[in-house]
Amino acid sequence: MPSTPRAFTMKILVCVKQVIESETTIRIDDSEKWIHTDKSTPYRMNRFDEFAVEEALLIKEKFPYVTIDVISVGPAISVMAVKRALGMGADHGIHIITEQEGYLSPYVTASLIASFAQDKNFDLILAGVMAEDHMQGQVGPMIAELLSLPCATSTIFERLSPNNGTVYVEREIEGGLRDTLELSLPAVLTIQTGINKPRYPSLSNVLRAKKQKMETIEVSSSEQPEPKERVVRLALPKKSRSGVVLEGTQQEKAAQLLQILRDKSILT
Amino acid sequence: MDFSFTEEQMMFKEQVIRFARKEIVPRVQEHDLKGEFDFESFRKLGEFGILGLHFPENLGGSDADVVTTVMAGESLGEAGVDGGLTLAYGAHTFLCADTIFAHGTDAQREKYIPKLASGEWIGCMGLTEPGAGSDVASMTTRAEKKGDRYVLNGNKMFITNGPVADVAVVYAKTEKELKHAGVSTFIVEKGTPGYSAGKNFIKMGVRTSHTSELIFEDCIIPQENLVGQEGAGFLMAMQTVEWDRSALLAPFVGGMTYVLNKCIRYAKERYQFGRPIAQFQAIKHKLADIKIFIEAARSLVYRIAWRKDQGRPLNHLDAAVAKLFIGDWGLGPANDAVVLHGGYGYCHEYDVERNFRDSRLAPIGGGTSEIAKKIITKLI
Ligand SMILES: Cc1cc2nc3c(=O)[nH]c(=O)nc-3n(C[C@H](O)[C@H](O)[C@H](O)COP(=O)(O)OP(=O)(O)OC[C@H]3O[C@@H](n4cnc5c(N)ncnc54)[C@H](O)[C@@H]3O)c2cc1C
Repeated sequence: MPSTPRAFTMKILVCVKQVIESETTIRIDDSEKWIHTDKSTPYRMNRFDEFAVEEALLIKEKFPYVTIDVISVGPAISVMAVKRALGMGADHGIHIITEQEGYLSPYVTASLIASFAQDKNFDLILAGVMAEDHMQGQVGPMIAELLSLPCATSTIFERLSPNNGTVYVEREIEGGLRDTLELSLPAVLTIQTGINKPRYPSLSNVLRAKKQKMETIEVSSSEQPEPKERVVRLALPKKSRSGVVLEGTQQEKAAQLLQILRDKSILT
Repeated sequence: MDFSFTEEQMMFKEQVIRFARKEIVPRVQEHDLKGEFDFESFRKLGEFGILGLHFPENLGGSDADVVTTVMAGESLGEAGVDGGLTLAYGAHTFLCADTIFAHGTDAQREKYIPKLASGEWIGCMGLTEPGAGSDVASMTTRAEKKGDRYVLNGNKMFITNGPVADVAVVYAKTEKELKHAGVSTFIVEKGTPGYSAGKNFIKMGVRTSHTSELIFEDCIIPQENLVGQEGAGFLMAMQTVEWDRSALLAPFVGGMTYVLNKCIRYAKERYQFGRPIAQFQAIKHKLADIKIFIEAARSLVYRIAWRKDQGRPLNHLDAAVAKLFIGDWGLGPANDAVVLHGGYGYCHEYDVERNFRDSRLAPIGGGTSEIAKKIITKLI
């Protein structure tokens, strides 16, 4: 990526993902390769990505010449994550629509984002440290690799020096310790939770987002790079043998459980 | 006619509910029990943009239309926010700030609206007096003009946010002999000599909102704090009725949705006589009755909001019907929710108990049901 005159413009790309609300009870579909979803399935923006969007917004508050693009790769539903980011205050939204629902290899996601980003002169690319559904944590580092950019994962603090063309990063590591790094821009950071307090989308931004044009890029399966892995089979974890086994219909079991929780004063 | 909400409105609603559940609802029980105003939650409402939603952006608002504003109130209720906090919000935003916004000068707007929209300042509105409630035009608080000032003397009663307010919109007589036409509107700031608030009354419900008297003893107000023209005050007070019958009622309606969801869950979980009580017809009917109330109430409230968005004048008959319906007809469902929870419903830990107490205000505040019925019978 050629460097841009930093004193005038600076571009950040934030990668976001729409995931199934983690409190939802999931059911594996008949193919045994994916989760059953329907119209009522609740989705939300991956919580880790909220921190990445917020961090970009904080940078923009500090350096007003920053513009923030938000990108999501995924099926139609993913557009909601981009809209939420726009509602939080991002400037432009890009949705790379993939045809199929179901498992999307992080390599495919990263490749699509990298090919979008390669000629756009982003100074900083942010992503959540991982997605809360698959927890692979690969997209950020893979984008960096595909674009030959330096990368820091698990970022818990960053301080940008646009004039020096660097970013100072603290990474969270085991035992509350921190790694400190300095990366030259452009760079990719994956953002750890707790780095900031993500704001809620404001109504004025939500209304403004309505007027903003979203860029939609359609890619058919044939245009996608070959995934490097595939899902063999999804299975729910085996029931643990310890403890009390409740008997009866689902409803009866639920009622017994509630009674136990109430008796133990866990629930009131 | 179009009864649908836009995608942005639905998205916003979801945001409000998510925000309220996370930031506010966990604090409700404790504050309700102690009867304490929750300053932190109030400030968060400001930060999120709720307190100033319908004001223009240059005054710290979000330029929301009335339907969206009503939706925000409904969503707070639906998330489980108590009637006390939503009343405090209503009195602050619609009875106090909006009166300044709708009738004030540019200087008054610029001085007060941004601070009220952000929640940095808390507002209240003083109309009712110890001796003048339903017959409010018989108020005796005086504002005597002396040179370029007014001198206020008198007492206001039952003023929501009274003890915590930084700014009060106060109605007082500039012409003692006149009834409605003698009422003028003033902005009084906390700390003005001669102005004080009484003690917080201990109330049955809406306990997290603080309610008190406002006392004026030779309280000197500069001319620039007069809102609009002398003698135009009563009309201003009546204009807040539009908000009162939409945005202030919306949290009660949303609250009932919250309660209904609790009831549905409880009825499925609670086993008696070997099966969930949800299987008993008497219980099912209660759930249906609550739902019927909610849907009827929503249509009434949103119709008033929609008319206001269309720039149509308030239909006083509709407004009175909405007030009376949500106030009086809401008591049945609030009671049903307690009944459905048996003994647990009588305990503080189950929110239906609080909702029952909070609901009792709806037929009193902002004009009683008897007065609403009086208006209805006059207009049909
Ligand atoms: C929690 C709370 C918050 C409030 N917040 C505010 C506030 O922020 N600002 C403010 O200005 N006021 C506020 N009020 C005051 C409220 O608007 C009044 O209490 C209400 O208008 C009734 O007035 P009153 O209490 O004097 O009752 P009264 O008018 O004395 O009425 C007593 C009874 O007589 C009935 N009655 C009166 N006249 C008639 C009639 N002509 N025909 C038939 N029946 C009649 C009434 O319906 C009622 O049942 C608040 C009240 C409460 C309880």
